This record gives sequence, C-alpha cells and structure tokens, in this order.
Amino acid sequence: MGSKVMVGLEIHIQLGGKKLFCNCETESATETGNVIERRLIATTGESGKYDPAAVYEKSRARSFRYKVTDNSCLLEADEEPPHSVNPDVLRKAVSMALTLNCKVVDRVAYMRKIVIDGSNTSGFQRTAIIGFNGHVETSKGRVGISSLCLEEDSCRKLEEHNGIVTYSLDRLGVPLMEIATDPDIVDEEHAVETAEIIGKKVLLAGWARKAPDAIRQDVNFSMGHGRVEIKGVPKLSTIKAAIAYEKERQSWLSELSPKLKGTNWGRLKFQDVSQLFRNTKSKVIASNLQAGMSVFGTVLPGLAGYLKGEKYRMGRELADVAKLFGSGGIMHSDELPGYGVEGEIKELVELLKPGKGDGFTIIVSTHKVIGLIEDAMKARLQKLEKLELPETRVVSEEGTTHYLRPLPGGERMYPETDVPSITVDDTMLEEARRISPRSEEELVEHLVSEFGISKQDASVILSGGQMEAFQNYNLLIGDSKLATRVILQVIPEMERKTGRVISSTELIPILEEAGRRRWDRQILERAMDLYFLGKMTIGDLIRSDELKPIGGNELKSMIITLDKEEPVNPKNIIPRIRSRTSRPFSPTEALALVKEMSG
Amino acid sequence: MVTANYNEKGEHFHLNKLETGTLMDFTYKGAKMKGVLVSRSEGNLNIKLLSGYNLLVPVNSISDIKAVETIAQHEGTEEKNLILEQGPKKVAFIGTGGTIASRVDYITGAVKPVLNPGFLRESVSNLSKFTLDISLLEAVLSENITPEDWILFARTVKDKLSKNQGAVILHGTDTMSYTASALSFMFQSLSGPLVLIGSQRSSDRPSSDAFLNLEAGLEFASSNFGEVGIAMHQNTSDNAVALHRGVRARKMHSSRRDAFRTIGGHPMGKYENGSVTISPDARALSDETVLLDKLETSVALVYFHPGLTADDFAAITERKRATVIMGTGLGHTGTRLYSVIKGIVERGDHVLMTTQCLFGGVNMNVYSTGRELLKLGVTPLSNMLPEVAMIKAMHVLANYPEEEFSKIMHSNLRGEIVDREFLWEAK
Repeated sequence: MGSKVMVGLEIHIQLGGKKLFCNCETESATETGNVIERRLIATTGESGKYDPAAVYEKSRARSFRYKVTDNSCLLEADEEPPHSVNPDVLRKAVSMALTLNCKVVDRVAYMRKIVIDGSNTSGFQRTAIIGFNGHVETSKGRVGISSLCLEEDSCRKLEEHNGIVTYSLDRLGVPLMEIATDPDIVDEEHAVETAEIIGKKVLLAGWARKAPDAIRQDVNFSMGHGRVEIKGVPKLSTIKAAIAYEKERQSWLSELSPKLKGTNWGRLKFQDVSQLFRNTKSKVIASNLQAGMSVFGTVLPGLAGYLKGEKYRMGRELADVAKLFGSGGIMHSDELPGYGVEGEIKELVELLKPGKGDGFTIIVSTHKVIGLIEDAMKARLQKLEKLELPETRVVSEEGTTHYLRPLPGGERMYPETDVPSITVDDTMLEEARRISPRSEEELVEHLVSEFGISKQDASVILSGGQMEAFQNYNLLIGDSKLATRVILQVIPEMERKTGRVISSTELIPILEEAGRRRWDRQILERAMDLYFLGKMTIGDLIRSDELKPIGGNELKSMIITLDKEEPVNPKNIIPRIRSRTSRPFSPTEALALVKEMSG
Repeated sequence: MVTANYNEKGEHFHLNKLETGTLMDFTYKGAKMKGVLVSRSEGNLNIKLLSGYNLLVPVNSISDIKAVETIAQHEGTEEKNLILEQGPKKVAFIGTGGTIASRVDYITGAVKPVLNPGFLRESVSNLSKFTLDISLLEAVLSENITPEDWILFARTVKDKLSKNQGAVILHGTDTMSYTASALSFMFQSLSGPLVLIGSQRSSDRPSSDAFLNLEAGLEFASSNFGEVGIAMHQNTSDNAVALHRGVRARKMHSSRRDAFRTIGGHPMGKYENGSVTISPDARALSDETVLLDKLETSVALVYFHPGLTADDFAAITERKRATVIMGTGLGHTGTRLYSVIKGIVERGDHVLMTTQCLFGGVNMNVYSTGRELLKLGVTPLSNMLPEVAMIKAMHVLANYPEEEFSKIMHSNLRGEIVDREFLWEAK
C-alpha cells in the first residue's frame, strides 16, 4: 500500500492524407456494400510461445465481418502485401520525433504486432520505432518520451453480436503516430497537462486528421501492483477521471485482498436455474429467456458484502468478465432484490445454498459459453486475491475503467518481412527539420508576413490545427483571404448546416474549381451551399445558372423592378435582392447602383 | 569514444564476437537499452528489445555492451515421417514446401518450412477426424519445381495411396496448377482423391488462409472421387473452399486468397459449413492406382506477341519434340513464323495451338490465318489451357506410340477439354 502512483501516456494521433502502406485516402469512406468474413488463429511469436492476449482472444472464438469502404483496397482486405511506406507521413513522424527532442533511429524497421481481436484483417498491426529517448518540459518537471512509433490504425468497430464482430475498413491503415511517455507523470492534472503539451505540438503542425477520434490516448497506470493499460481515452477530461477511478479501485482491491486469502474459488460453479424464472417480473430476463437464452446461478464464495459495499465493488470486476463473453452483466446478492428479481430469490438461495459470508449471482447466457465465463471468473478472482493487477482495461465515457484482456507481451512482435528497412539519411533528416512545427509565435508571424492575413485569424487557424489545410486551400484558390474565410467561416457554417464534419478531401474538388474559375467569395459560398446541401455534383455546379453572378445591367434592371414595387434604399436593398435571387452578386455594386439611381 | 564491451564472465570482447541469442545491456545514441541480438546482416545488428520491437542499428553505433546471458534459440521441431493419429479417416499428408508449410524464420527474415504436429493440432479445427500419414519431402519453393519433382511426388502418392483413403499435397501456389496437371495425366486411375493445397498468406499470420484450406483439403481427400484437385479459398472470405479440377485450374491473381479459378467451367467441388459437395461429373474412384511416370521434357511453350521474331521462335523451338503456341485470339500467329512452323512439322515434330486469351478455345477455321496454319500442320487444341497442353504433350510423347500423338492430344483424357462452355460461369 501507499506505493507511488506512476502514470505514463500513449498518445495516438491520426495523420491525414494517404494511408501508411497504400494509396487510399484517409478521408472519404463510403461503404461499397461488400462484406468480408474472416477468422483469425493465434500463432506463435518468434520465440515459439503464444502471447497471453492472443491466447485469451482465442478462447473467445469470435468471428469477424468487415464492411468494405471506398477508401480501402486489397491491402486493407489483407489480399496483397504492403506497398512502400508513405514518405510524406514518415517525414512528418521523423519531424515530430525531432520536435519532441527524440533521437531518431538509423533504420526504420517495421514489425508485426499480433492483434487477434479482429481489429486488423491481417491479425497484426504494422508498427516501427521512429524516435526514442526524448522529452517535454512541464510545470512539474521534465517528462521523458520513451518512443515515437509510426503505425497503422486499426479497423473501426461497428457492432458485436453473438460472437460476430463487425468492423469498417475505413480507418484501417490510417497513419497513426504513437507517442509514449516515460512513467514520469505524477498525478491526473499532470497527465492532462502533458497530453496538452504534446497534442499542441502536433496540432500546430496541422498534420492531424480532422475527425472526432483523430487523437486518442492510452493511460499506463501503476501504484505498486503492476501496470494497467487503460485504452482509448478520447478526451482530456476523461484522462483525469480514469486515473482517479483506477487509483480508487486499486486502493480498495489492496485492502480487500488479504480478506480473500485462501478462498476456495472452485465453489464458483454455474448451474442452470432458468426454471425459477419462468414467471419472472424482470423484463430483461423474460425477454432473454424468450430468445432462447438461459439463466445460470452460482455461489460467490466469501464475497457477500464485497460485491457492492461502501468501498468494495467486486460485482463490477465479475460483470466485466461476463460482458466480454457477450452477456449483459450479472445480478448479484449485494444488489438483490432489484432489477425486477424478487420472488425468485428464496428458491434461488435454497438451490444454490450460499454459506456464511458467501454471495451469489445470476447471469443470462448460453450453455455454450457459460463454462468459459466460469473459468474466466475463477481466473480473475485468483488474480485479484493475489493482487496481480497488470492488465489491459478500457475506459467508459464516464471515466470508469473495465477489464478488457491480459496485457500483451513482447511475444506478440515479429519482423514485417514484406517491408524492407528504410535508412534515415541526412536528406530525410534535413527535410524533417525543414517541416518541423515551429513555436506558435513564429507560426503566427509567418502566416501574417507570408499571406497577409490578420494576426487574430492566424492564431485561430493555428490553434484549430488548420495550418496545413490553410496552406493547401490557399494553393488551390490562390487567395489567402478567401482561404482564411473558408476555414474560419464557410466550413463551420456548412458543418452546422449539414450536422457533420466536412473533411478536406471533400473540399478539394470544389476548391480546385474555385481556383480555376477565379470564383469570388459570393460564388464560392453559393457553390458550397449547392454542393453540400443541394448535393449537386461538380459537373452540375459549373453548368448551373445558379452560380452566374448577377451584375451590370441585369442587376440594375432588377433594382428598378424592386424600386417600382416599393422604393429601395441602401438599408433594404441587399435583403431585397437576396429574396429575389439566389445567384451571387456584389453588395458594393448594388449599393452603388441604388446611390446612382437616387442621385 | 572508447567503448568497453564485456561478456557475461566479465571479459572484454570484440563486437564481432557477439553471438546471436545474447541478451545484453547497451547504449544507443545516448540511451541505455536492453535486448537480445537476433541477427547481423549487411553491417547492421538486429536487436530485439524487451518491448518486442526490433531495433536495426549499424554495427558501430552501439557501445557499452554488457552481455547478460545467452538465450537458447527456439527451434521449430520437425519430423520427416510420422503418423499423427487423431481419428478414423486415414489421409496421406505430403509436404513439398511453399507458403502453406512455411513460417517466418526470425533469424534471416526468410520464410522457412515448419510443419509440426503441435501446430496442426492447434490450428486445423477438424484434425480430430483424421489420422495423418505425414511425409515431408525436401521443401522446394514452387518456382524451383521441375518435372523431376513431379515424378517424385507421383511415386510418393502411389506408395501412400496403398495405405490411405486419400492424399493431400502441400504445395506452393506459384506452380501448383502445373503440378496438378502433371499428376492428373500421370495417374491413369486413382484409388483415392488427390488434393493439392496451398495458401496465399503464410501460416505465421493469424489471418492465414492455410487453416481453412487444410481443413477443407482433408475433407476432400477423404471424400469420394478419383481425380487430382486443387483446394483453395473460393472467395476472399473464410467461409468456402473450392475444389478445382487439376487440368482446368489456374492461378489468376498474384496475392488474393481466391487466386485459383476453374477456367471455363464450375469448380468440381466445394467445402462450406463443414460439409463437402462433389460434382456428379467428377471421375469415380478406381480399385487401383495406375501410374505412368515417364515424361518427355523436350516440349516448348511459346507466347506469341507482336515483337516475336522468326529467329527467336526458331531458337526456342530448336530440337523440341513438340511446341505449344499461345496464339492470339482464336489461335493465330504472324505470317513471319510460317516458315519456321513448316520446318518443325517437316522434321517430324509437333506444333500445337492454344489461345493466350485463356478463356474460350481456338478455332482455326474462322480466319484465313488459322486456315493457313492448319495447312502448315498445326494441331489445334480446342480450349485446353496452354500449360496443360504442354504437360499433356510431355506425357503423351513419353507414354504412347508416336503415330497416336495427335489423336490422343485431341481426346479428352482427364477433363482437360471443356466440351460445353456457358455464358455465365459460377465463381
């Protein structure tokens, strides 16, 4: 007890553009309607041993479905070898390693990291160390950067049902920079600060994908009972909650563990108790029984009062196991009567015969998996009793953490023989230094002097991680003021109207047209409306009358018509023209015409 | 910088003396690290760090090396011949190499063959139904296979079929259809199914297609037909395996799981949801396995193309007993080859015509070019696949009287000619 809390972070940042090992776009992901069905088999690493996480997954015997998207090719389907590493993202990774004061490796050597939860069609993730031994300065001292890796992102999980997991191929292969810190972080505030400092460096470079899950964190936590890896923490505020939760959880577990010593976990033995629930008032149980599932019950030796007490929450620990095998959770003696289960309890107790100090639980499952759940629960209780806590956990939105799988070991890595090693030579280092993100002040100064935009706009573009987007749009449109407006006003407006994130890939064709046809602000904004809301194609757009600006004599005769209906003045003219036509026009010109007419 | 390197006994040593398998502390770019030396190549050391990552470093870039211990290297156990008794169905299991029998050699990074009972038990889900009579021949990459190997495979199969109800051959996919064709012709009859199995993803990968192909191959080999087939994924999903007739199968994609196709027809069998279906037109089993194991290898296969000169063609076909041309379209070559073709026929050797379209057959009566070639003595081979025609010629030249050559080439010995082609073809 009382061991020092040690926290390390793994920050995963998706990079936009092309995927890591093929020519597919990271953005634009429409489902093609094709589905691939696969199974994965655990294989041994180079030492000939099985990885514990892989063995565990094997016991779950799940199968996988992959929805094919238009940003995937044979590679994502695991039907061809990887192409060469995307040089653009490799340069960015080297650049970021330098920015984080890392040493850069001489040779980039890709590895296969076995992952058989189906999230990679190949059964492994390709990953390579780019930099190591770096650091960032924080208010609570220096935090070491143990490594920066450039890896493939995994598939996005869509759903899981009856042992079949469905994934989308859209995210598979998106370049992912993984920045791991040393366990130098001292508390939850410090963790948030460190994540912010590192995140900001990437954001300033403007390389991250613009998507809700573009930055994800894993938290490594320990307080003397082994390392717990908490996966997939999306928000900074959740980092705080997750660390606090885990601290509390490990504290009560260390207090409880001596009290559990010597318990005979072999008495945990599920039996079918469905007949007691034939007339149950529990809607959940009734509907599951109807669906052909069964109710199983068991004694929980020595756990009465520890399942859900003042401090102890062993119920959750067991529910986590049940959920991993497709069960909704458990109902246990510390919370019964409840959930509509009441009348059955007496008979249940008579049947299960819990002794003094024993708890009991019921669970809805099937005869096929209940044995696996029983074994997994016993194994878990044995570990918790011995306070062997290292494992992989997953975080909920509220910041509670849940058991996911054993920690994988070094066993799961072996060389990716299909990708030759890449020498990081002076040219590559030079290029990486050239693109390396500068300080915020330097960047603002650069945007102001180079592109003639205001200091305030420059700051907003930078803090939104839009540096690269700005440069790209400016290149396409050839007008830095318009590019600024697109980023700061037009896109947010479109996103508000469409209710979704608009990716830069979607914008490129329309901005290309804008540049080619020298559209001004009005035409561009009208075109965006028609494109994103009116769902017009680019071809339709450029042929459409809607985009022809109204001006000169045409505008003048419109104003004369309007004036006849009701006299026009500089105050009402703009809205009145707008109510008459959706075509673009220059307000300055309209005002001048009104002035000319009244003058 | 002066570097001091010590072995586990505390003695100084030279970097070149560092043995693979040594767990060591070392310094790289100022960072202290620990890892096992896995291999050395081209001036680099490949070091496996405790995290599992391999670090590839130039030899002279690490310093302060202190050897901690030497870790025994894992050796894949492999026995050449054994009986793996699990269940009642007896199937001969013949390994010849290829991806399906391969795992990555972590020392060299190359793919090396590993087949051991433990691996089979772990990964082939229906193994409990079978007793495998395993014999591992010397592993060859399938691109290195020659007709001599076909004869060795055939003799092994004949021997094994006398003791088992069927046989599977694990084979590299690159030339698997050539071997299947050769075995098809060499066995006049078979007392059990002979199934070639390959895989497109090596079995060290969790996603390998080897597992399902092996599962299906064993089921096919214990079912009821007397032909040579190839068992490979029917589509990209892990849910069905097609059995292709050896003389109609072709690898049509370099990397996909469903690379193999039955050209011009339907597969002759299918394994899906744990059960086998075999087409009624598959040949029946025979009481006896009859092997004609002679081959005449002096046969050329020539791909005609606009740049092919008469001289090149003459050079390739010189002294060949038979030449199979992959002609254009319905079976044509440029007129510039006519004189060479005429010469070949006049010296008593054979010129056979197939189509480089692969789908469809030759018909040399439609265009004048075809009719000219027929007049020169070219033998059209209908829709026989070019490689199959070549192998058939090797077989016929070695085992039948010379005067019967054309007649036998025209007759449909093993289903190598599809007599009815349809507009729609099942995958």
